[in-house]
Amino acid sequence: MATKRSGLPPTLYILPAIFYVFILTIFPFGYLIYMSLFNWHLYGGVAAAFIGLENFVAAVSDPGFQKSIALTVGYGAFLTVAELVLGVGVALLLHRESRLASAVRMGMMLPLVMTPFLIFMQWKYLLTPGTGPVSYVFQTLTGDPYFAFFSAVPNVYLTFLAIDMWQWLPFVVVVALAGLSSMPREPLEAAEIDGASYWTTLRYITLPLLRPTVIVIVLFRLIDSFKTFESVYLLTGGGPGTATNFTSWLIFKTGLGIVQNIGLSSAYAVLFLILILAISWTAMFAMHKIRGK
Amino acid sequence: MILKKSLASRIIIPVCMMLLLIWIFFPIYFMFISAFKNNVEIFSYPPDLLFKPSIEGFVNALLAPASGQTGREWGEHFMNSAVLSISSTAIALLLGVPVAFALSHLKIKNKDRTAFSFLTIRMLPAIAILLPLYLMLQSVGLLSTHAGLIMVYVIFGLPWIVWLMRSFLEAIPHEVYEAAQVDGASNSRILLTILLPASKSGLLVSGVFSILEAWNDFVVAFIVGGPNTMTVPVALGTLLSERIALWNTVFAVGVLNCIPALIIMIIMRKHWARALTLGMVA
Repeated sequence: MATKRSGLPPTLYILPAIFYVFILTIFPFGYLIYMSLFNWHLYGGVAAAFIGLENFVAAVSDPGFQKSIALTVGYGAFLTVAELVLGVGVALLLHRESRLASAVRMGMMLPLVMTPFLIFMQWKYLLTPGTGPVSYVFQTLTGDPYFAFFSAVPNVYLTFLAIDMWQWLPFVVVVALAGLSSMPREPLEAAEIDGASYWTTLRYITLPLLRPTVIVIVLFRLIDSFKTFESVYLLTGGGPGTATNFTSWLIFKTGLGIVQNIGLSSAYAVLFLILILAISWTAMFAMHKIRGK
Repeated sequence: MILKKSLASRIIIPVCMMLLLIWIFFPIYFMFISAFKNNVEIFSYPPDLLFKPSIEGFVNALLAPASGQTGREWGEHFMNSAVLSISSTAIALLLGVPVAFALSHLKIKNKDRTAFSFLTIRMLPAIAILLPLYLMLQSVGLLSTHAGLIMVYVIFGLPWIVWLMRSFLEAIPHEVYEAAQVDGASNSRILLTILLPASKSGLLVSGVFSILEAWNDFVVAFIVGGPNTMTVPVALGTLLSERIALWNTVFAVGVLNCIPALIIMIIMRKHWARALTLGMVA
């Protein structure tokens, strides 16, 4: 290599973006930690007072928060597994040349581009007693004109699950289909020559080859399920009781709702972010290892 | 055996596919026909499947003076959505494309760490970081302003642009970069005159996903936005606080709101899976 004669040093290409991210992500995160150390209510005229880690002690020992984390993680894990299994199944079904299959593949993109808030409004309409078509179908089937889609447990979880399936199953299918079609052909052809059945090939060749794709799907679905907020805001408000008190909602309600306990809400948020970072970094590390090979 | 296979492929598989189509399309179908019902028809129960289509919902949406309690026109909300998503994407492209370039072709330290820190942003739930952002924007007087919202949306656009552009730029062989360098071209010239023109679809895909991120957002606009910045989803939310929801208006707005995304979807269907996973699955 002779003398380098390019204008800008390479680091200058990433510095502006890093600086921007620092100001709007790392700095607020630091501020969030700072806020979590105070007894701080947004309104009410009481000055913020430094109380050390008391908010964290309160958060960890608060059954409401424990329940909320358990709900968020449990619901997210269940949803991820269910959508993964169903989505890969659907992808295998659609992974063939036919006009019907390509119509389904196109249709599946619709929920992915629709505004999520609109999707929830659409389901609210469908399920509202006295208005919605789905509500009408349930009325004819069960004879109950006020079928409790949202106001009873476990119905509300099944409703949330169904809506989430409508919204996000297509994501799993689209990604799994891409994984299937970018698969190396040789092992599959070899299996065909050896006379392996469809199910044997699936079990011992296709699914193992799909592993990197599966990790990506699990990471995205699990992490995105933690963002559940709009649906709660629009459909249940956290109810019935505290049944849909997902952590995102709890953080919002505690900090900017009626209570406006900024300190406690920040402590919730810090703990929630640590959990999310731990999960996503573990998954990213796994992905990186597979990619590196 | 042959019989069994043909039974499966001739009946079971098509039936499953039809069921999937129905599952995907029935909510959209009801949204669509509801948008064309008039103010009375929309409350008929059981819901009518056959009716005289009316554009009353669209008239409510486009010509009636006020949306919900905001007293603003829907045109203004659509304008807000467009301005916020396009300008935040423009800034995110300016910041993010050079990063993608550096990560794919330049010699810098900690490449992987840099890339994964941008990916981490994609994982964060907005709500957890919005509380401090709310107070920060308030203290500099940018709360409830377009500028404040744009600043936040840039953050959410960056991971799409950095990761997708990196994946597209990496697809260009490094020899192309080296050859241009031997010819004496500077890095910025190589990027602007050789690499970017060769990855136009990358710019399109990453830009579009950054736009969609802001266009489809509710949480950020709801919390750090104000009456002047109200986007379509937030305005739709205010409609619900009225006692009787005029669903035809809601869905007329909804149909209009989906049109840009629909066009985008058709243009970009080839790149879909790659885009959704930020280039992690080809």
